Formats: sequence, C-alpha cells, structure tokens
Amino acid sequence: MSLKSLLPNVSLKTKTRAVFGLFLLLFVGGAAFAIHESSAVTRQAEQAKVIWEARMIGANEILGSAREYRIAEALRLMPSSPEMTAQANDDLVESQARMEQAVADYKSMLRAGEPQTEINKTAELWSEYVAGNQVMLDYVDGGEPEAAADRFRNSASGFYLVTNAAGALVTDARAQSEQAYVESMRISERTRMGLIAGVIFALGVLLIATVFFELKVWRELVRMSGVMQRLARNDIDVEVTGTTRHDEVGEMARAVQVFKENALEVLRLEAEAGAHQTGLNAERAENDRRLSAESTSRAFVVEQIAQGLERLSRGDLTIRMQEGFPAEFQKLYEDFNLAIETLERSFSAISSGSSDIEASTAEISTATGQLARRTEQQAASLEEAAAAMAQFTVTVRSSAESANIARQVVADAKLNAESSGEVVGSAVAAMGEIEKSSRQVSEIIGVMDEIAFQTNLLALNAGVEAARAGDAGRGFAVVASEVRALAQRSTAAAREIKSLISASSSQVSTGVRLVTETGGSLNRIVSQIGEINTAITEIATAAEEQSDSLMQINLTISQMDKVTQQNAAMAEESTAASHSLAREANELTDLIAQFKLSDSPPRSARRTSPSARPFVPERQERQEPKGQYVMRSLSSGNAALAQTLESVLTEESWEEF
Amino acid sequence: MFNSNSSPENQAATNSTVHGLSVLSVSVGGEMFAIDVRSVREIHAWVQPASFPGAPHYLQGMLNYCGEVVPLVVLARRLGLADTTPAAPVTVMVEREADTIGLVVDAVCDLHSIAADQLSLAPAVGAAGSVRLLKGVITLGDSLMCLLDVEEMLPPNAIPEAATSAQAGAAFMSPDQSPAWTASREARHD
Repeated sequence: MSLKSLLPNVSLKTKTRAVFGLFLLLFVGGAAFAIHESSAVTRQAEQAKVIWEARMIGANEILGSAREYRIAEALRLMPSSPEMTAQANDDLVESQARMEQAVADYKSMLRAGEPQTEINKTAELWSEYVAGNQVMLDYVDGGEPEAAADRFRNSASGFYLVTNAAGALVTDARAQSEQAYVESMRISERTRMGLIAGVIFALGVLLIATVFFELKVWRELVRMSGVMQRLARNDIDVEVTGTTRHDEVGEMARAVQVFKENALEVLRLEAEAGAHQTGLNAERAENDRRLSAESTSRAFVVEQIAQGLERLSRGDLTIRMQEGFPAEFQKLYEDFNLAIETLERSFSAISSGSSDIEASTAEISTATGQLARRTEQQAASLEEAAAAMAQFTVTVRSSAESANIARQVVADAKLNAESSGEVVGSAVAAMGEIEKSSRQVSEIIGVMDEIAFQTNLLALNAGVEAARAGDAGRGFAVVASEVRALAQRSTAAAREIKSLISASSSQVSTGVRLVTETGGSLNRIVSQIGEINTAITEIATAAEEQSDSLMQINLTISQMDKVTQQNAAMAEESTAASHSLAREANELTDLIAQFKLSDSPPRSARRTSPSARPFVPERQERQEPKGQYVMRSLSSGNAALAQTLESVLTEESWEEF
Repeated sequence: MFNSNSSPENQAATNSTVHGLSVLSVSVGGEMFAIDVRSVREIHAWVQPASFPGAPHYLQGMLNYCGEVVPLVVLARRLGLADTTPAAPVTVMVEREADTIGLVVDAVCDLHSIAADQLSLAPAVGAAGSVRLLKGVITLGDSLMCLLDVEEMLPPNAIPEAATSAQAGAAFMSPDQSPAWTASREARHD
C-alpha cells in the first residue's frame, strides 16, 4: 500500500493515534466552521429585520404625514363650516408635527458615518413646500379662493417631489432588506456545502483507516494466531512470516520465531541423547565378558584375603599373604602385606605411647590437684582482701562524711564570725554614741562649773556685804559661807565629774580601738575560716574520690574473686578430667594388649608399674602438711610460692620415683 | 623691830582690831594677799576691759562699772610678782577714799575675821615704796598674809602727762562726769 511506503517504520500505536487525531481535527474544524457561518447568517437576518424594516416603516411615516398635510390643505381650500375649518387647521398642525417627528426618528435610525443626504433632501423639499403653501393659506383667510386654488394647484409639483423623495427612501430600505435576506441565504448555502464536504472527507478518512487496519493489522494478527496455535501443537515446520515488520506485529512475529527455534533445539538435543545411550550399552556388554574371564583367579585371591582378614579380626597382626597371587592381583598382595605391617608398627607405637600417656596423666592429675587447692586458697585470700577493702571503704566514706560535717560546721562558724563583725560595728557605733554623750555631759558639767563659780562669787560678795555690815550681818555671813561651801563642793564635784568623763572618754577611745582591732581579727578569722573551708572541702572531695576509687578496687577484687572461684572450679574439673584420662589410658593399654604383635612384651609386666596405680589416696595423705607449708610461705610472697610449688613437685616426683 | 615702828596706819589697825577686822584673801601669783573687807565693793567676774593708752604696765585698762569708769590694776604686776595670767581671773572692785578701782587677782579665796593679835606691821626693809603697798601682815596659823593698802595700788601720780591732759580735756568737755581718780584728791574731796 501507499501508506506502507510512506510510513514504513512507524508503530501501530502511533498510527492509531494519528488516525484518531485526524478525526478530532476534522470534528473541531467542522464545528468551528458551522458556528462561524451560523453567526454570520444571524447577523444578516438581524440586519434585514431590525435595521431595514424599521427604516422602511419610518420612510412610510414620512410619506403618510406629507399626504395627510396635503389632504388637510385641500380641506382648508374648500368652503365649509367653521368646525371643518378648525378641524382642517388642527390636522395641518398635527401632520406638520408628525412629519418633523418622523424625520427626526429616521435620522436617529441612521448608523454613525452613514450619509444623511437623502433624508436631508426630503426634509428640505418639505420645508420649501410648507413655506410656499403658507401663502395659499393666507389667500384662503383673506377671502381670495381663486388665488388660493391656483396656488394649491401650482404647489402639486413640490408635493410630488416630497412624496417621491420619501418613496425613494422606502424603496431603498426595502431593497436593502431584500439584499440582507439574499446574503443570509447565500451564507446558509455555503455552510451546508462546507459541512457536506467535511462529512464526505471524514467518511473517506474513516474508510481508508478501516481498510488499512483490516489489511495491515487484523489479517496479520489472525495469521500470527494460527502460527502460534500450530507451534503449540508442536508443528515445527510452520513458516513464521512478518518478522521484518517494524511495528508490534513484527515484534510478536520475532518472539514466535524464537519459540520455534527453541523447539527445534529441544528436538536436536533429544536425538543426541538417544545416540549416546546406545554407545553405553555396547560398553557394558564388553565389561561383562571381561569379568567372567577374571572370576577364576579372583576366587583364589578372595580366599587368601578372607583368611587374612579372619586372623586379623582375632587381633593377629603377624599374618602375611602367601605367594602365588595372579599378576593382576600382585599389587593387592603387596598392599595387603604392607598395610598389615604398617598397622602392626602403628599398634606397637600406640602401645608404648599409651604407657607414656598413663605416666603423664598421673603427673597431670597430681598437678591439677595442687592447682585446685592453691586456687581455693587464693580465693579465700581474695575474699579476706575484699572484706578488708570493704571495711576500708566504709572508713573512708565515714571520713568523707565527717569532712562534710566539718565543712558545715566551718560554714556556720564563718557565719557566726561575720555576724560578730556586725556586732563589732554596732559596738563601735555605740562607743561613738557614748563618746558623744560624754562630750555633752562635759559641756553640762562646764555649765555647772560656771554656775558654781558664779555662785561662789555671789556668796563671797554676800559675805563681803555681811562683813561690812558688822554684827548686824553676822547671820547673813553664816548663810553666805554655807552657800560658798556648797558652791565649792559643786565646783569640786564638777571637776571630779569632768575628770571622770575625760577618763571614760579615753577609755571609750581605747574601747573603740580594741573593738576595731577585734573586728579586724574577726575579719582575718573569717578569711582563715574560708581557707579552712576550702581545705576541708578539698579533703571531702578527695575522700569521696578515694571512696569511689575504693569502690572500683572492690569491684575489681570481687571480679578477681569470682574468676578465682571459676579457676578453682575449673581446676577441680581438670583434676577429675585427668583422672578419667588416666582411666581411659589404662583401658587403651588394655585394649592394645589384646592385639598380637611380633615383638610385644607380656601385658602383665606393665600392669604393675607404679604410674598405673591409683593416686587419689596418695594425694589425700599428702595434703595436710603441704597445705600448712603453703600457708606459712604465703606471707613471703611469690618467690616463696614458686619455691613451694617447686618443692611440692620435686617431692611428688621423688615419690613417683 | 616689828613693834617699834609706830605709825598712824598701825594705830588705825589697832583701832580696827577692836571693832573686829574682816579681810578678803585673794590669790596672786601663787601667794595669798588680804584686802580689808570694808573697802571691797564687789567681787566681779572677769570682763575684758577697754585699753588705756600710755598707762603704766600694771594698769590693764578701764571698765564701765555701774556707770563709773573704773581703771583695772593687775595686782601681780603692781606687786612685782610673776604674771601668771590665769584662765579665769577675778576682779575685786575696791572703794577708795576718792574713787573706785578694780584689782585683777588670780582667784578670791575666803573671808577671814582677824583678831587684833593676828595683825602686825610690815617689816620696814628695802625701798620705802614697797612698804607703802602693805598696811600690815596677818599671821594665819603658820603662814603669813600681807594686808594690801588699796590707796597705794594706783598712786595719784601714776598716770603720765599725756593721759592726765586727756583727762583734763575730758573734764573740760563734761565737768560733772569727770573720772573719779583725777590727780587732785583734795579738790574732789572739797
């Protein structure tokens, strides 16, 4: 097809989308075209109806008004009753007004930019006509009917000019309306033709697309389905077509081609397997023949081997194959003999080795027993150390608490000392007050002293007066001398008070100085208490740190204790294991002795060796003194311990010897 | 020697003993002196006096005393004793025959009634002037006390020329209120 040559490499999906897209485009285009054309038709009809019809009516109105006016004039000409005349006058005025109104309406109907020459010409003609006929009306009123009739007749040409102009307007409007109708008809026809053409085109496209899909897709798919069904029925010879296509059908065809090739490969492999099977059958027959030929010589060999194995099963390792084996079993003969020899040598080695194992296990048992005991002692020592350490921890913690208490006490002391400082300050202030009071007292005393002095003077004067009065003033003189004595006593008292006050003033100053010194001392004490506080705080912190460290040590010791306990348990287990090992070694020796060897010593001789005797009681009897020795030497340290171990070992080995 | 000297003063003293002599003892320069009570007008506390230009050194100044202008004599200087100038000296206003003067003493001690046998004449030794300052000596127990002659404490010729002329001028200006210690005792007396 032509499409195939145009679009050789385009997939079916793309083709399908192209066809649908084309349909969509056609539909949208047709709809837009129809909408546009129908709106054009509407516009034309609107023009015909609204604009031109209204203008036709307006022009008819102008025409009618002119005619009415002419009729009214005619009525006016004719002699008649005054009522008729008045009616005619009214008609003239009315028709004139209607004419003006109609002209104005018509003008308003004209669109902007449209020429107004026609209507203006009509109005102008009308005005001329009305102006001309006014003369005629004057003639009528003036009682000259003849002249008026002439005038009326002459004005007929002007009247027809007006009616012709108005008629031209009407005709023009009608023609325009007709033209709009024709235009709308034309557009409708065009629309119909366009839509028909679009539908035909769409049908053509649809037909082409259907034919294309029918030929290029469905037919191929049906053929492919047939090929696949035949393949499913194992019909290998079927031809797969369309593999060169570039669309989905081509891909499907290529996949089916792969299926077909796989099936062909399976068939080929089955054929190869059948050929191989026949080759194997031939080989087996050959072997059967060879075996039957060898059976006779093999009987002899089997006899020999059976005898050998029978003796071997009784533990006799001294057996050997006799000569006379066929050549093909020569290797077997040699191998058998070599194996037995090797076995015999191995058993000999095992026999002597098991003896050594017995001896070694005895030593291990002893050593592990010692180890277990010492580990227990170590565990006990560690427990003691842990207990001591715990006690030490308690002590350190209590000292930390004591340090805290001391810190509290020192802080209280510091507070007290600080409050004492305040007391000292108030004492100094009080001393100052005392000093001030003393000064005031001194002043008062000075006043009293002055008074006493004045009194003394007065008394002296009185005495002088009394003396001058002679005997008459004698009594007065006594009084004056009494007053003088009093004044002198007050003076003396005032002096005494003054001296006392000055003494107390100096004492107060001393007190102030001492109190100030006390304040200084208190301040120093406060600062020293602060230092003490710092020191005690450091002590407390150090003690807490020590306590923590001791806790750590404790923990470590308890872990060591645990580990040592585990060690002890493990040492006990080792002891038990070494005992069972010794027992097993013994059994092994017994087992080995059952075998008959070429150069084996008699079994009973080895049974009485010292290493084989049970040594648990031996350990029991040695434990007591050695434990004491270990306890004694523990204090002398590791060297002593090592020495102890050495001595124990030598002792043990001595006993073993 | 004490008794051989018989003078009008001594006679007067003897007369006064009969009536009973009272003296005021004052302390000057650490010593005690006695003043006859009859000549004492008032014992007065210390008042700073106005100065007396051109006066002898023992005349310290003058005071307005009850409307009178009274010269002040520092007794220690007048008697030629150490001028101790105590903190609160006392002035003893003394009435003389013609006028009143103030005697500045260190302190006033006591009033004493003196019997006739306690009073004796001052010994006539040295310059005559010094004797004239004393009326007599009073024995008071073991100690002695000089009885001062108040008339001699400010002799009439003690005021120098200039001061006298000033006094005269003052008298010229207001004769009725002229000072009481002017040179002419007789005129005043008249």
